[in-house]
Amino acid sequence: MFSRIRLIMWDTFLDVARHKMLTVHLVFVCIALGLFNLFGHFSTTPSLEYRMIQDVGLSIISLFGFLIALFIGSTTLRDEIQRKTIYAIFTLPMGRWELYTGKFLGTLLAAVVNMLIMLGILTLLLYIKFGLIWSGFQWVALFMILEFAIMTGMVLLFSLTDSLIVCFSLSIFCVLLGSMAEHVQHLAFEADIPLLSYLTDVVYWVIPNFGYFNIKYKILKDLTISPSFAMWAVGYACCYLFFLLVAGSWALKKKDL
Amino acid sequence: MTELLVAEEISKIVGWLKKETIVDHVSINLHEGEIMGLLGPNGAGKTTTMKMLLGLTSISSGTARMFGAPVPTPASRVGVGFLPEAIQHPDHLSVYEYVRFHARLSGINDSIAKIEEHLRQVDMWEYRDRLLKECSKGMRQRADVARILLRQARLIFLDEPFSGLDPCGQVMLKELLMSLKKQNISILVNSHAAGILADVCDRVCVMNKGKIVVNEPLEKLLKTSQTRVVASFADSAAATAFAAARPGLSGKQKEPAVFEFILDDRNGLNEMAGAIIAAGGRLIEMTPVMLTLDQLFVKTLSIRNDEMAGGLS
Amino acid sequence: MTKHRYLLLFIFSLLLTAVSRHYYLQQHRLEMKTGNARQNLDQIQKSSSAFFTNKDENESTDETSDGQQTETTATCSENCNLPEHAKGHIQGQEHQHGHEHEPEHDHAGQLVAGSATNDIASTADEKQLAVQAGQPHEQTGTHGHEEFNSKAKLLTCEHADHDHADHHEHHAHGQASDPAVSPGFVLLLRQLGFAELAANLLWIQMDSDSHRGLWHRVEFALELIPALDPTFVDAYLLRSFLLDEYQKRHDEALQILEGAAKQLPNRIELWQQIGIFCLNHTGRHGPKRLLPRALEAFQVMAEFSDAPIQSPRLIAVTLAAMERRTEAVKFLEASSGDQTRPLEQRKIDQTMIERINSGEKF
Repeated sequence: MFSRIRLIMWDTFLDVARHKMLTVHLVFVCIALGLFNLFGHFSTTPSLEYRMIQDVGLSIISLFGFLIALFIGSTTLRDEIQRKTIYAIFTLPMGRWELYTGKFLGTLLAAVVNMLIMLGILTLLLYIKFGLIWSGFQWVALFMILEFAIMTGMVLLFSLTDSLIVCFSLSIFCVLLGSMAEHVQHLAFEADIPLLSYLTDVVYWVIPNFGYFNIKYKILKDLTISPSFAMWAVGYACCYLFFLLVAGSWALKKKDL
Repeated sequence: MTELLVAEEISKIVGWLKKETIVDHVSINLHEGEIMGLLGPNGAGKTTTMKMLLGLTSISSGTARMFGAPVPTPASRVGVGFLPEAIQHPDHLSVYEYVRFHARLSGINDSIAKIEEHLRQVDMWEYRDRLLKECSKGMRQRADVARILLRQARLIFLDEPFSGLDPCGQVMLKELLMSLKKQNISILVNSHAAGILADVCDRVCVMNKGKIVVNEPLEKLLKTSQTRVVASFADSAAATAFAAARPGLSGKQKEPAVFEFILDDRNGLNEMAGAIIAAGGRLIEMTPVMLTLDQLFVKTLSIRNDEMAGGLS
Repeated sequence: MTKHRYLLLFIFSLLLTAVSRHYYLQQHRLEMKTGNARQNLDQIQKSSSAFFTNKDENESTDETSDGQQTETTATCSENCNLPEHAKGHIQGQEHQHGHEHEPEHDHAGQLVAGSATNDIASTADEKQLAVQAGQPHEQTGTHGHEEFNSKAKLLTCEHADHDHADHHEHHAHGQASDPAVSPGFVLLLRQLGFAELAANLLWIQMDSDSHRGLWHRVEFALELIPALDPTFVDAYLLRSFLLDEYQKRHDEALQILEGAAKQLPNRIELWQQIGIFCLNHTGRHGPKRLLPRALEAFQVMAEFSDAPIQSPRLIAVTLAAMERRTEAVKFLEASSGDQTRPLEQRKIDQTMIERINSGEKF
């Protein structure tokens, strides 16, 4: 069972890694990081400039990371279904959930490798410019991986819908809503419409709150992250991923090919 | 013979508000070493039936078992191979990697020797390092057959395997099917290439509008009560006189002194032979007339459609 | 049971997610020292609304163009109670002069170190002491300090480098443009994850606004910046300074500093400012003196590895103010005996011991 998942994961990773889109993405990231370097000029001291470039760089990586997760996640399973290669796999004596989990892990692996490359570029940029090695790298990487894992899981789930546009719309909607979940709930509460309030309560509990994975400012200020906090974050992310995998596997099982 | 596949009254109904029956109470049995052809016009429900049996699509009603295990459990697919129509292979894998990947997924020994054996069986060993995207359709199809063989499948589903293949490819695939049959592998082929099916199938199942119209052994289906008789006479005048004396015979003069005709009733064979000899002729050939599968297909569907039309009116 | 396996798993995973989420949020709030997002949003909403009050601003600038400068001064005074600022900005030539001398333009950095030590060393002789007390602050190596001081320097420099003539021309002709950093833009940046950038842009905008005398916007920007980036120390410091110095809302100013210290307990400048505020030498920060709190704050500050070099003197002065002079002298003696301290500093410690022993009131 696990060897099959591992095989599918690796195959998916290789399939995704050869995608030209990723190279284009990386080129874009390099250009964006270079351009956003200019934001450093708003700063007044080298330390502030360092932090601002770090901040803008991390935000770019988050944004591009999400785009990568969106593009890869929405196409990997859909393409397999459209190309009918999935038929050959589904007629093997294995559960559909194994394929789904393998696909998810492969996609995530590709997204994570991309993210690490982007972080590496940023670190190199900072090193060239300031001669400093970034201390909070591992925490940023961990929290970004958690964030991307949830995003990828969501996109993969939505990719099981019949239309790519629906998949894109739902994914973007959920990520935006996930970033503003508490605010949306608050606004609904303020609006004093019971039904809306009820609905946003449900959304608030079901949609992941990506805002809580944003530890950027803590990293930027060189503040420490306690292991217990990291552990809780990992725990929550794992639970949410489990939920997404169950939902996805269920949806795939029910799907008529 | 062991029954590998038993489908009883399986149906597929789609749609939420407006329900539509795609497959309507279909029953199929397939025995070990048997090749069954699934014929039918486009939209008859052949592919859906296959997908239901393979667990790719849910069965709305009825039951199916493969190797004794209920569909769609993984156990029912243990010895099953499937070659879908117009499959687009993964671009990033070579022939060898593709076959090995599937072997590993199936939990089968993926030793080079074994892969080599099966790739050689389909004449693909030389092309093992070629990327699938660089292979011709026929080559990719053979690679698919190799992946199925490597799994030691005992029941193979082929969905339109001959479409898009050149005549050489078709012949090669036909020969491959025959060799598989010799290995006692059961095959369910869904195809429009009736001519080729007629050469390889043991049994034919004709579907129309989601229902099975005919499900009989091929020999029985193609056999007719007619006999083709060819006789030669001393000269053309004798031949013409023989034909003119029997206006009920539908025939033609192949050569000036050779007359060919169809005899509808087999009971009259002796009498006819006597008449030819009596007229100074010589019996050259006397063979039973067989339908082609294409003819049978068209005939069956037209009868069915007439019946349906009659029923409706 | 097996038929509904997926359904059961789905429900179980949903519950698991909700539970883990609940605990993670608790931990997040504890760790990040952030309040409820509702409070946060309220704060942003409240603060950003100030930018929509352009009407007042336009009215006032129109009036300025008509030559009714006094009314503009009044508007600004009503809004923010900062008459000196308003005057400074409106009164053309005098303004430039004002920049060089008026303490309010020193903004954050010098406000903390400079004005605070001035409290203690109010006489001319003591000024040198104060300057020396302020020096180590600049020498501290942390990012925060460096940034903090340089931001203060920048602001001072900017004041010097700014094209004041241009600015003043704008004011004189009533061409105060709309804010370059709109609240919508700021919120968009924040939602896209560029909170730090948004806060910095707003800070620059705030500085520019201060030059144009748009004090109500300055005030609201200073509220909005910490809401966007809760670690923007300079915003807390400058806001508390403005409230304390010009609006005489001393308690609120202290509350802001206390809140900031709770959020950012590792920032020395906050503890120093709280200490100076509570020590309230010369009664500059209102009628109250909170000496135990001042002592506590200075002690916290002194515990940092890169604590300002004047920390022992600040503690001693607070002890003296509490009439615990023997303790203060003992403390300073220990400090002056510390061979690791620069000789110059030890001399100043000795001078301070003499002043405490002389019975001088602090």
